[in-house]
Amino acid sequence: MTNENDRIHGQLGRESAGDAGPADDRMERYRAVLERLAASRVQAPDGLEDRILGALPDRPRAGWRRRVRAWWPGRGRWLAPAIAGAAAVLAVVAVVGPGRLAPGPASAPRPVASAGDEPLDRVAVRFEVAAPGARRVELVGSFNDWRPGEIVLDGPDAAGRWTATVELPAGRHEYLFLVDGKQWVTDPRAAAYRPDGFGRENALLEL
Amino acid sequence: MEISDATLVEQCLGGRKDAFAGLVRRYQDAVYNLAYRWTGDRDAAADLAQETFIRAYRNLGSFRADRSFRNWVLAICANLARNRFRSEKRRQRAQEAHAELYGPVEPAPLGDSTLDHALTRIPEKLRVPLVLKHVEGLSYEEVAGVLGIGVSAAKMRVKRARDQLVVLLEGTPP
Repeated sequence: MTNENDRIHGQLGRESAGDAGPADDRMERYRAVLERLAASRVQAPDGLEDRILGALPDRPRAGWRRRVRAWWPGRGRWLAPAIAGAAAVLAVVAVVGPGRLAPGPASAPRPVASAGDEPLDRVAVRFEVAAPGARRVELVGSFNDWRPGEIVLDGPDAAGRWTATVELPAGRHEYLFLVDGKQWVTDPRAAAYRPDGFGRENALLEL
Repeated sequence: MEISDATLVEQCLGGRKDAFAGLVRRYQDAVYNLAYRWTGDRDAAADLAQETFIRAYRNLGSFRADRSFRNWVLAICANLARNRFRSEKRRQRAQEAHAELYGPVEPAPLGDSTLDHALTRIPEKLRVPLVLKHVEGLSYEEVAGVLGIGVSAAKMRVKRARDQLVVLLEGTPP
């Protein structure tokens, strides 16, 4: 109990350090009560340990931290998997071509499969626009110096869609559809747009 | 040389269930004491202590080795006790209803019966921090961590409990 008494004494001393001289009587009463309290610690009953051990489940559950740690490479063991991963990415880029992996529009126009002997710096792109009542739809853009009449879309199909597949060089392109030779229509499914300075929005295509 | 708590935990997680016996032996008194001071009943305290260790074993995977196992298991005990005895008033109402039928229920004293009786008259919210501080020897920061309260709240509750205990034991305020 000596250590316990010292602990209580020290603690009360620290707590009363800021007081303006608490009465010794008060401190003594505190001290006597806390010593009595410290001595009142009850012991676990006999047999509790056996009772607990007998009721334990088969195995502890693995926490999420340990599951992550088990999966994560240990110190000094991450280098080989990292190099292997990087090499795999480089191999895919070398085979497929960086242009194919570049982020493109979420929908049309989309790159389509190229012929086997097609140069890797050109990509076949399928354009599609719905214009049910139109008689003629053309594709005009930076890839043909905005000249109408060069790329005419096929259509309409039963759903009123007009389509064209065009080989384009890798890079960034802007384009519009020209409907019936007079109405400029931007591609509603383009990934991005850019103001053309005439109040319209050119569709953007990154290949 | 004594095996550390963290090593025993690792051994348990590695499939050595017997390693948990070492942790139970080390902390069953602390857990039982807290449970007894919370419930005021020997059988209920033993049940609560058992449930505490079972819960601790099941969740050993979430124990962080940089923390104190004692404080972790005491916090589990406190949470279980809080959930089980959600409302002091509800328990009091149950005891009063029981007393009407069978007479007053007094906790069976384990030692200093006057002190035990005085402690049961201190609200649980103050009594438990007092026990953790002055019986288990936790720091105020540890008391706050076990009970999930702020350090200043822990200090205030311990002080109020101490004052009430002095009044209850000696009849006059300190």
